[in-house]
Amino acid sequence: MLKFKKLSIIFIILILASSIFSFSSTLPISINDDLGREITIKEYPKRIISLAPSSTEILFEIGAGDRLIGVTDYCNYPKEALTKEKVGGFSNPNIEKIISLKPDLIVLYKSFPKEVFNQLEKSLPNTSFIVLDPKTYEDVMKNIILLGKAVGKENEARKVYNNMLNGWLEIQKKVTSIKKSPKVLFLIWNDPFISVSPSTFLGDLLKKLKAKNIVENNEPEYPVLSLEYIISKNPDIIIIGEMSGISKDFIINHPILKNTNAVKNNKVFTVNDDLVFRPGPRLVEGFKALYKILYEN
Amino acid sequence: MKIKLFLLLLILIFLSIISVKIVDIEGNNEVRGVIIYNIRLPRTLLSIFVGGNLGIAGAILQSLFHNPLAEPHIIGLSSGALLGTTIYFLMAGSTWDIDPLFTPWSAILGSLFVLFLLLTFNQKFQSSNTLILLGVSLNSLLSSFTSLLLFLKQKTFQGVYFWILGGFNGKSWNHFYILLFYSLIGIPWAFLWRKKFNILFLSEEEIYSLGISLKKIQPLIIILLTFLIAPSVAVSGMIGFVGLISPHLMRVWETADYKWLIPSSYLAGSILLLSSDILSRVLFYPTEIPVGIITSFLGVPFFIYLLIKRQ
Amino acid sequence: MIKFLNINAGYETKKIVLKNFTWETPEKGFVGIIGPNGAGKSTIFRLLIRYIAPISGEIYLNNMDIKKYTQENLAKIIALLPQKPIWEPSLSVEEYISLGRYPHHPSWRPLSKKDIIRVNEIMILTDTIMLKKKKLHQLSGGELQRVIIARILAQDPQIILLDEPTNNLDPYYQISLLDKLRELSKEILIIANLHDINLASFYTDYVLALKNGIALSFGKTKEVLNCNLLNHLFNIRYTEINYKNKRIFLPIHITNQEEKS
Repeated sequence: MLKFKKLSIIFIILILASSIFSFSSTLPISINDDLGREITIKEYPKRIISLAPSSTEILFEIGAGDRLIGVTDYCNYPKEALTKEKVGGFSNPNIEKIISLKPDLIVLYKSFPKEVFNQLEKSLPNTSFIVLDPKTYEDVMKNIILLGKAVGKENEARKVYNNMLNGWLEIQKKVTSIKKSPKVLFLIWNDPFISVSPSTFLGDLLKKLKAKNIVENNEPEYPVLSLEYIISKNPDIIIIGEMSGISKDFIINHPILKNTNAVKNNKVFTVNDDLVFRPGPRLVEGFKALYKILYEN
Repeated sequence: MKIKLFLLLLILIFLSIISVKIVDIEGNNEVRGVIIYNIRLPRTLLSIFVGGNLGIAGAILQSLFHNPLAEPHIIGLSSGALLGTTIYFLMAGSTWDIDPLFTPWSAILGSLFVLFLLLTFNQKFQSSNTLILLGVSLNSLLSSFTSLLLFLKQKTFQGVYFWILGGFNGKSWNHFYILLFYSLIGIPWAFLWRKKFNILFLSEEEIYSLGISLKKIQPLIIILLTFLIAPSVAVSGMIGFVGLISPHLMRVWETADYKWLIPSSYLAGSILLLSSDILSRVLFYPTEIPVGIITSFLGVPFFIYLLIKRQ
Repeated sequence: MIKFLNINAGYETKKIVLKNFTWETPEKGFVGIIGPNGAGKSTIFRLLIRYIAPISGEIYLNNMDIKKYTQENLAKIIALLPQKPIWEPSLSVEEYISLGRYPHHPSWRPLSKKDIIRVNEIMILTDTIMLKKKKLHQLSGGELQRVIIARILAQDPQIILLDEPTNNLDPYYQISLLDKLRELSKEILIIANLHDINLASFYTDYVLALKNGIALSFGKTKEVLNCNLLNHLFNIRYTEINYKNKRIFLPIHITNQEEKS
């Protein structure tokens, strides 16, 4: 009995010790962002500006939301993001505002205008910049770890990572038994009809879900589709992004589209755009939502 | 008269640079200094020179084509610049791989290509009537070609989109130096030739009769216009309306005599564009509105007011 | 004084307009050019201001090859009033007339005192001085005509070319313009394309008859202008009426081939 107690105390101490170690890896650390740039973190940043809605979501999710001092106009999740100071859009941010907030870390994506980036780098020599460029679901997961390391929230980041990983594995298991790939049309606009190519995040998710996107070419990323094309491909499922403003009724009553398998079998659905387009932690929810639409309706 | 304009310009420069209303700059003087020097000063100077150059170019074109609707973008130099930039962005692959310092040069290269076409065709058709038709057709063709490229390669579209709308966000001293270099040639040249533009407004026979050989001077004017227009578009994108309205504002205000019109169109263009830039930053702070949108909102009501007052 | 020697000239779209055209003008006086459309009347003027160049042949102005003049020096001697002048409506009368001084003062500097005095003299001469500050679009037809002539005169030319100057004018302005030109022609050479045969008869000292690019006849109006010439020029039978020392030509009917003598 005593031996057991002793062992368990030692065990507990060991666990605590190892968790303390994993809480604080020794600074300074060196990390590489998605562009291969090396960023040295001497001190965990206390004033962070996020220049995209997805990085805002990641930072909140890993518990660094309180250190955010600036976000874009489009950062709308979680609710707390709406209370943060706004610095403009993500293609035309207000440089002066950003500089005056004196951030020590700025997170941005590769699609950010280079000129503005150069200006910011020049005007803020003591600020670290992390540039992200995720192309797939896995890349997003890696982004989360990266940001976790950069702000000293590696454990929390790992939890989010695991959550995403589990979600993926779960769905992957379910999907292996799918024999017939449903043909999917995802609409983001209806006048003209615009869909998404396989080279987008969404396209990647659909691929992982073994769905067959009726758009086959990688370019353009958001192709305009003719009615003839849509009909000739005859999608089994039509998914509408909620932000497109297209109503289900519009599709169901459309004189041409009502001849598709999707409408005939009542397989027209909507999904929250932010869940499937944003390279952030909620991608796993989007993934699950898509699975439900495709196979559990 | 010109003194009034000068004073107005000075006030605007002051506002653009120093006004604290534009941003609630907390922090110390060092931060303010960085912002003023790195960001506001180049922007202000760029607005002045781009607005001025486009104003003069518009005045010259209205004389050359005897047409009050003529403005800098109709002769195709601007769409050449746009095409040059688009091709560069395409070749670079993504907006990140673009060197912002090279972008203006890709635009200038595009314009030079158009200049070459214009001069070649001008050899054959020496009248200004054919030149305007040529310019308009080139404009159309190049814009369509650019649109096609952007449509097929949507990734490039993002980078080019804001360039098309025109604006000074993110522009640095380097952009200004490029513009300054060409302006130091173009502006004095336009000034020295200002009396000629009065004559060019007349019919072709009258032009020769008054001592100007149109066939000799037309290619030189095309080159002068390139000096004025191409670098302006190269550093700030397509800003419309300034080149069209500035000369008209000054015509109504005072006179159509080009001795007055050339320098005053410069000042009017600078004032219009600088005011628009200030408003574009202030109106929906911190989001910045593309400056090309503001210029018509500012310019048109004032123009109509002047027209009514002069009646 | 102008000499045309064996001039062949034309435009790319049409055939050759002037064929082996040879002509020498007097030093001063009022010359009227008459002839059917397409005869080459406007072409002569365009050659003189070097708007177009001849295909072959030479032109001499004051005994010097016209090609050797700079455009500015040419403009100090020859002034042209075309059929359809263009002007900027918001220019003031004074500014517009001052444009005529350009060949004498082309530099970027504003006009010299001398030029300004000259412009004022011209405005008094042409009865436009009271319109000085008005804008062109505020002028009546007659005022505009005087102002345009004033601009031509401000060039201080030795030779004035007028391409159908009376076309759009009502009789009052036609006559006042021609009276003025006749005055001027005592000092300088005036060459005018005229459609109206009778105006040519009343006002010109010399007549050049042009048909199919060739000079049919040139000489003093009194001697050269007659029904025979007009028949050849226009294929119309005219009859001549004399009234108070003026010769009036009335068209009777179109002639056919046999009637031509």
